[in-house]
Formats: sequence, C-alpha cells, structure tokens
Amino acid sequence: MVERLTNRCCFKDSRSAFQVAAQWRQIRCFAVIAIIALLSVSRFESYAFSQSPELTVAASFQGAESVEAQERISLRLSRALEHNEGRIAILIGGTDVTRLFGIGVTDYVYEVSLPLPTGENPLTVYLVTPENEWRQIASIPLRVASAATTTITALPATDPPAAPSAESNRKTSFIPSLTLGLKSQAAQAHFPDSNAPQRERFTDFTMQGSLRTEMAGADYSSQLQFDVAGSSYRSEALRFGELGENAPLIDLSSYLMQFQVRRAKFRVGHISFGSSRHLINSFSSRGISLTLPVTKRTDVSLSALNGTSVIGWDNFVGLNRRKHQVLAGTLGFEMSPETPGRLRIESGFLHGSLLPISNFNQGNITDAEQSKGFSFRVIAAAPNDRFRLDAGFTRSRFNNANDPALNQSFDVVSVRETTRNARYLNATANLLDNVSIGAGRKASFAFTFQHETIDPLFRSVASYNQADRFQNQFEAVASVAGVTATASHLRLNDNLDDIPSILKTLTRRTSVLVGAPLASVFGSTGKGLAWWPRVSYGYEQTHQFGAGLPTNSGFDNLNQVPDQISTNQTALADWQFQQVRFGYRLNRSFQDNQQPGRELDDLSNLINAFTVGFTPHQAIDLNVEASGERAENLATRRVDRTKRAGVNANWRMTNNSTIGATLSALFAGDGLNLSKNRNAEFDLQWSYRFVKERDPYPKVQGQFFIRYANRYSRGLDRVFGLNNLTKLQTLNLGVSFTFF
Amino acid sequence: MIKLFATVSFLALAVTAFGQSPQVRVNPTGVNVNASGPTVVFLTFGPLTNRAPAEGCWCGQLIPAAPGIGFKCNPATIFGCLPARSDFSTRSGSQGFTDIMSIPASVSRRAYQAAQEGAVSSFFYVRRFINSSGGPDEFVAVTCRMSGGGARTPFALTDVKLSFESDKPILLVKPGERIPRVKAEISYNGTGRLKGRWEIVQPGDELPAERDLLTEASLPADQRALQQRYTQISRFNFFLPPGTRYVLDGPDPLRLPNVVEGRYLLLLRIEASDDKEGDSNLAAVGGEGVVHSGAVAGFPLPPLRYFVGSGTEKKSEGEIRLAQPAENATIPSGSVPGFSWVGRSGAAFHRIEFVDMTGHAVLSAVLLPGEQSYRAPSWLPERLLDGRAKWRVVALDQSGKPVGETKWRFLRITITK
Repeated sequence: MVERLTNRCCFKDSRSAFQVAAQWRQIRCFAVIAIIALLSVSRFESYAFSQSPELTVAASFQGAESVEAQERISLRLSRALEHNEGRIAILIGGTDVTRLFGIGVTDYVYEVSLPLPTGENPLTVYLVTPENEWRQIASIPLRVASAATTTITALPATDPPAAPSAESNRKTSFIPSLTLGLKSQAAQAHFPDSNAPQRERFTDFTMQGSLRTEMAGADYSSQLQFDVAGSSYRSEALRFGELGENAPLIDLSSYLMQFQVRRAKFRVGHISFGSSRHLINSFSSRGISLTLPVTKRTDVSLSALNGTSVIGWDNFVGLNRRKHQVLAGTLGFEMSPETPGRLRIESGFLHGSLLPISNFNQGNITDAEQSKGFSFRVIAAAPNDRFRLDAGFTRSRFNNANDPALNQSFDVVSVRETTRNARYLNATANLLDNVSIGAGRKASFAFTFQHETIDPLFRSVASYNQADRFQNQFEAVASVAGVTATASHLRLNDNLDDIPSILKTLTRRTSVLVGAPLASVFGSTGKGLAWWPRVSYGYEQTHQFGAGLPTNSGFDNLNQVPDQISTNQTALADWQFQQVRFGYRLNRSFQDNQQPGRELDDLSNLINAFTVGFTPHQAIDLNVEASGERAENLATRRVDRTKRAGVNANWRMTNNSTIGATLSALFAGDGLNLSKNRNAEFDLQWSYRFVKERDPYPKVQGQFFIRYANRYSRGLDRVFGLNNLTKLQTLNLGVSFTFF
Repeated sequence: MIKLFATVSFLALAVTAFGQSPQVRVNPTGVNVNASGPTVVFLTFGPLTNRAPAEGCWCGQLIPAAPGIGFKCNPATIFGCLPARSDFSTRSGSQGFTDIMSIPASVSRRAYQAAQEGAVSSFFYVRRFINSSGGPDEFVAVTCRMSGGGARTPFALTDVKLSFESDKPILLVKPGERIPRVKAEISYNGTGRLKGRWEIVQPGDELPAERDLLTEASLPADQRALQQRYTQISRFNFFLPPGTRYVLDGPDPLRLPNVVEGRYLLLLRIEASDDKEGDSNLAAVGGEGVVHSGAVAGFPLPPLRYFVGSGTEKKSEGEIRLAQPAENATIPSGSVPGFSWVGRSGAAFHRIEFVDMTGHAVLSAVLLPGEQSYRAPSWLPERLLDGRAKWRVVALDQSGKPVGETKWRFLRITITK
C-alpha cells in the first residue's frame, strides 16, 4: 500500500494488487454499460428497416369513457418511422407534450410527469419532417375525468394582452395580508416527571403578516415585499436563540425591495449574489445590490451584504457592522448580446470580513475571517450547445482576524496572511444530440471533463471550498430511446505542497447510473402498461488511501493511514397505477478497510424501503412507508436492525373540514440482545375552515383545529445499563383569522 | 510522544497504587483531523471523581505540567482554545465527561503553517481539570494528526445549512399552498451512514430545546434517548463516501403540513451511526462499553421555519433568461425560429408559452430539465393575428406549479403569400 506520489500533476500510482483489481472492476462496469448500449441500439436498428406505407396511430384510451388525470396513457404507431421521415410530435390541446412521452420502437408512453388536463381535449399526433414541416396524422379525443389542481396545459395568459404601449404597461397593486391566531395546550399527560413539558398548559397569541406592493410603468417598475411574524410567548420569538429575553415578540422575517429603471436594477433586502465558484458563489444575505447595464455588451453588478443571513428589524439594510460585511462586484462582457451565453467573460472582486457568527439557518464551526480577491470567468457555448465551456480563475488573500473567544487569555500563535489561487474548467461536448437512430428513436451522448485545483490554504469568505485539492473528473452521459446511462470517474489528490509531515491522500471514485422506463423499453401498451416500473440502478466505488506514512507527523503506525474501498449500490423501482403508487428502494453499502491491522474493521449496511400511496377517492389520501435497515459490524460481529413503519392519512370530509392522522413506529435492536428501542408517535388532527364575507367589510377567513398527539419511547441498553421509558400526550387546539 | 504517554501512564498507575484518585484519561487518545478545514471529534474523559473540567486548548508542543499532573501546552505554541460557542461538553455517566472537540479551521491553519516551517505536523488538544479538593490540576492530551479529512477521520458534520428552494430564511405560505422543496447542504469529515428523520414541530407543540437540536452522536450515551420527538415526516439512511460535501434532499413537499395555520419548524434529526474512527471506548476511562459517535456535530442543527396563514409568496422572476429571438424580433414566416433560453436550475420542467396579441393562448410546450430550446411548429405563423405574438418561459416544479417566469417578449412573423 505504501507508495509515494512523486508528481501531483500525473497519476502515476504504483499499483498494488488490490488497485489493479479495483481497476478491473471499473473496466468491467464500463464494459457492461457499453454492451447494454450496443444491444439497445442494435435492437432499435433492426426495427428501423421495417416498412409500411401508411402511418396510423392507436391510443390506449380509445374506446374508454374517460381516463384519470394520473393515468398512464400510450400511443402505438402502425409502423416504425424510417430514418429520413423525421420524428413524432404529440400535442394535448394546444400543448406540445412530446418530451413527456417515453419513446419506444412504435410506442409512446406518457410517463405521468404531470397530471393530464381535465375535460375533453384533442390529442393530436404530428409527423415532423427533418425540414420542420408538421403534418397531422391523427387527432384522438381525450377525456380526463378527475380534477387535478395543476396540469400540463395550465397555460394562463396572465398578462393583459395588449401591445407594448407605455399606457397599458402601467399598473399598481397593494396586497396586504394578516393572520391572527390563538393556540393553546388544553391538557397533557407525561411520564416520568423529568419528561414534563416546560409548560403544562398555555395559551399563546400569534400573528403573521405580509405586505406586497408593485408599481410598473413604461420604463420602470418596483416591487416591495415585507413578511413579519410574532408570538406572545418569548421563546417562540424569531430571534430568541440570538437575543434571548431581549428578542422582539414581533419581528421581520424577510423583506425585499426591488426597483428597476429600464435595464438597471436596484435591490435591498434578502438577496443572493455572485457566480464565481471560488470567490463568491450564490452568497445569500441581507444587503443591497445594483445591476447596471453599461453598454449593450457590458454589465456591472455591485453588492454590499451582511456577512451572514439575518432576520429582524435590527440591522435593517444589513450593513451595520463593517467587520461582518462582504463587498463584491462583477463586470460582465457579452460578446454577442443577441445570444446571451454564447461567449461571456466575467471579472469579479471581493472584499469581505466575517465575525464568528452562523447564518440564521445554518450550524457550523465558525471563525473570524478576512479575505479579498479577484476572479475571472469565461462561459462559452457553440451554436446548438454542441460544446460548452465554463472556466474560472480566482486569487484570494486570506487571514484570520483576532477572535477573543478563541484566544481567551492566551497568547495565541498568529495566522500568517496568505495569497493563494484556485482554478477550474468544465468542458462538455454533446457528441450526439438527439440523433435519430430509426424507429423514431433518438440517441444522445455527451462527454464532460471537469478539472479543479485549489491551492493549500486557499479560502474566500463568500464561497465554501475545501482547499488543497487537485482533481479531474471524466463523465459520459448516454441516452438511447429513453434509457439513460451515466458513467464517471474522479481522481483526487491533496497535500499539493508535498509537505512531508502531512498525510497525502489519494481518492479514486467510479460511478455508474442507469435509468429506464421499462414500459417504453419493452414497448408495452394497454392494460399491462402500468405493471412496468420506472427503474434505476446506481453503483459507486470509492478507494481512498494514503500515499505513505508521513514523517515527523504523529503517525506512528500504518493502521493510522487510510486505505479504504467503499461501495454503494442503490436500486429504485416505481410503479404508477390509477389509484395506487408503489415504490421500492434497495441500498447496500460496504466499507472495506484494508490497512494493516484493521482488515476486519468493515461495515456492511443493507436498506429495504417500500412506499405505497393510495388514493381511493378524490378526498382521501393514504401513504404507507415501511423500511428495514441492517447494519453489520464485521469486527465485533454485531448486527443492528431497525424496522420502521409509518402511515399518513388525510380525509377532506367537506370543502371546509379535514381530518389527518399520522402514525410512526420504530423498532430497533441487535442480534446479541444488548440494546432495544421502541418508539411510536401518533397524531390525530381535525381542522375546520370558514369564510365570512359581507359588504362593505373585507373578507375574513377563519380556521379552527384540534390535535391529539401521543409519543412513546422505550430504550434499553444493557452495556451502559440504561433503561428509559418516556410518554407524553398532549391536546392542542387553536383558532386563527386571516384578513384581506 | 510514545515516551511521554508511557511516562504519564506510569505516573497514573503509581498514583493509583498509593491510593489516590485515578488520573483522568481520555478516549480516543489520537485522531486524524482535517488539515484544511474544521474537525469534530467525540471524546470521553474519566474518571473525574473530584475534578471539574476547565478550558481545552490546542497547541503544537507539550511540556511537563509540574506542579500539575500530566503535560500541558507550551504557551509559545498555543493555536487557540475551544470557544464557548462550540463548547457542548457535558458530564456523562457517573464519573465521565463528554467533550465535543470542534477544531476551527483557523487552528488547523496554524498547525499547517507550523508544519510548513518544518515543525511536527501533529498538534494536541489539552483539557485541564481542576481538583476541587485542593490537589494539583491535571492535564489530559489528545493527539491530532493532520490528514485529508477523509477515511480514517471520525465521521462528523462540520457545516449544515437548511434552505427552501426559494432561498428565503423564513417562508410564509397560504393554507393549502405547496411548500417548496427543502435541502440540507452538509459538509463532513470521514465517511459513514447518514441516517435520521425529518420531523415537524406543529402549531401548539412545545419548541425543541438546544439538546433536541444536537445530533444524537453529540450527546453522551445516557442522554440520547431523552431527546424530545416530534411528528415524523420521513426517514432517511444514506451512505456518504469519503468526501467533503453532500446535499440531502428534504422530505417530499407533499408530506409537509400546510393546512392548519400557524408556525412550523422542520427538524433534521441525525441519529448516531457506527463509525470505528469516532468510537469512544469507555473501558479506557473507567467505564464500560463503546460509544458510537458517527455523525457527531459541534453545533445544534438549525430548524427551518415556515408559517401557514397569510402569505404573499411570489413567483420569482429573473432567474430564467430568454435568449433568442430578441425582443421585437421580426422573422420571415418561411423560417420558423428556434426559441432558446437559459433555464432555472432546480426546475422540474420548463414551459414555453405563445399567446397572440389578444392574449389568446396559441401554443405551449413542456420541456424537461436541461432542454433550453424549442423549435416551433411550421403552422405557428398561421395561427397568429397579424403575425404578432408574445412568448415567455415558465419554470415549473414537480407538481406543475409555476416557480418562476420570464417577462413576455414580443415577436413578429412576417406573412408571405
């Protein structure tokens, strides 16, 4: 295992026996994929030469009174298309849904990505010639019985249909909304006393409100949105975790003010900024930004943001603390403004300083940090997206600022300021792009190369990147008649400065993912259609190993140096019937440690999970989940098993009244009977909604709910001598009113 | 170093032999840590007897602690001390002390820079214990070996960020409105199974305490079963290979409650998993058994809040960019144009829509993610009044609900007869 990488830019690893074996496994994987692809193609080719002069279409729903919105439908051509005939296009009503159909030799299967439109709509089939001439070959009435809230053809013409005159573009809207609520815990029971809730009974007032305004004219527009929330119970205040008893009861949860004059845009509030991977990348926080098109080709974006995402009235603009602030800008240049993205060059800068504070929705190990830097980025695409390129370079100067909480009363070694680089390149070639392979089938093939080098000690305060890594990744994506296959291989090294006392680690990862809707692969139609699942299989193998025993390092034994091969396999299958959905997931992972002295420290995990969704009636939803987990520690020969079952049911009794129930039970234990856990949670809830509307008063909506919850937990551990039993039952009810 | 520890062990045995309280020990005594980022390790000290834990600091060298017991940090090589914000240490068992050692990246950085200058790359975490009966302080050290932070490093979460698809910190939605997708961006060291549950705190439920928000592995064994449980939405169990980052998809948005008005907290509950590198052997510190601590974290996992009631969530604009044809483009009817755009990342579908100047829908097409162009049918010009039309692109989520849209762009197709 012991080997030393002499040149970090080359992957000249000496191969021990197991590495050769691992590579053979990778080669075998690629070979299997290639054979599958070839078999698929050859099968489709054999159909391509079948001939028949007239093209007709038969539909699975012909003769049926109606179909359900979630029903899988299919079409069958009387013959396969020839090479030069073109392709088939399918419209439901006025919506082209061709891409939602899985394409077989002569069969086109709607995969129920979105519900079908309710009512009667014609399903029209066109033959589209290579010259883009659309010739109608069939029009079949499609009646869909059940109502669906969103469908594929929900095409609203939301804007007033008028010519682009200044007068017609002028609009103003003011949309307030307010909800006042009362919630209480009417009763509770618990066991033991230590499990008593903080408040046995309570009644709290709550509120939430929003205000949105919009103004638009010929050359300008503005949108303002404010959200606030509050509670009479201080511990529920939005910033109780930060301010404790000083947290305001009613607080600002988020806001955004956006002003646009022609193409210039100014924003204040919660915004996201940056597209430089290593400098500032989708950095979300409170602050201000300005986007200014300078010329037709050139645009400038500037922003000043708080160091972390915040909520609340304080620090309203987000720029109160200079030591916790990020200033950034981007200068963009489009070579061809008529075709954005064809060739764009961006240059960015950043000056940032962070205090050791976490984002509102984030937990992490924080530091006081400062960095400034610049970046360049090039994005290019060939016509038809045949080739795409995204490359960037960043140089950043970083330092850790003084952190009294870390230093405490000690004279801490200071961090030296460092200036380091990072670069990346992503290149994709679409070698085949929807190429006809006969019988109306298409094939695509794309190859992607990704490279990234991040110097040791590189860091920018507005982008997360693990420093000290050099990696190349090769990825191939093939799609043949609905079957997609992705294969990738990653090679990664660290310790780029080759510091002899720091462990150098090498990582090799190979993965394969294959997915297919079996119905379209096997050309099934009609009644048997639903029995063919959509399946996928993923395989990933990672080999991570140390290059050797570092000297002067604290490593004194080879068993401290990693050498692990881990494999992870996942298989998925989904079935979709009219009223029932069924899913199955199988996952197996194996961590195989190979370093001397730890050969048996291996872990094996197996997961089986089932989901069933049942909709016997429009008003009833029932979901059932069951899973079994098996974790085996080969060193201790201990096998832990976890079984979980969950049921979730909703019954919309009337338009106003809903009952919901949730039950979850978990059983866990080991084969040696050393530990046992039993957990159960049950919730039953009824809610009733009512609306009051009487002129001249505005509409008021109200809601009442009552919920019973039961929690049970039993834990037994004979090793640690633990025997815990906790129970809790609560009865909660509440009422709320929404105005406007 | 071996000699140092041998000496310490000998002293401990000697003291024990003379009837004194046994010296405080720690397990594990040495761990691999991430040289380029933060590291979190579950440590158990014991037996404490009549000693109270004081500060824990990192340093590059140890020196004898005399008149104290053990070895303490060389004051000239201190890299920092465990800040209060990351201190989740607690008493455990009868005489134990559980310490979640959260090494900030700045400490690893100091150690790295020292190694660059030729110093020994390993550094030490030293906990001081104060003898309440007036005896000397004791110092107990853990060796931190600089590595890549992958396999052989304890499996630990170093950064967890929860967010909605819409990227708002807190969401307000109307009753019945679909909650956007949720994701947890997780940075980690080591490798192992990430398993746990998504739970929801509903209106009226008691809020979780800080202990409830810690991952199970961040608590001593005797406190893990005492974490409060809430309504379970779904369960997950995934393998995380040696790496640094993983995006955990949230529960199915259809399963997130959106009927009853009020405040909801979505909780990410991570259970302890088996991880040899993170094991803490209590037998080595006067206890019994091995505590598994895979997926330890040195911070509470943040809850994700949303409110059902009044909501003015608006479809986001500007995330999709129309490319071709340009605004007010004029195209001869013989060449029906191709339409292209830059799509919204994360959208399940994109729908391109065409309406005539009366606002009447003429054509739409639903396209899969990654498809960023559409060639309109040859008959499109015939269905337009005066050849004028507007077109735009709408991003849809998995259920078909619009989650973003562009503004309408005008187009004129000249009719040639």
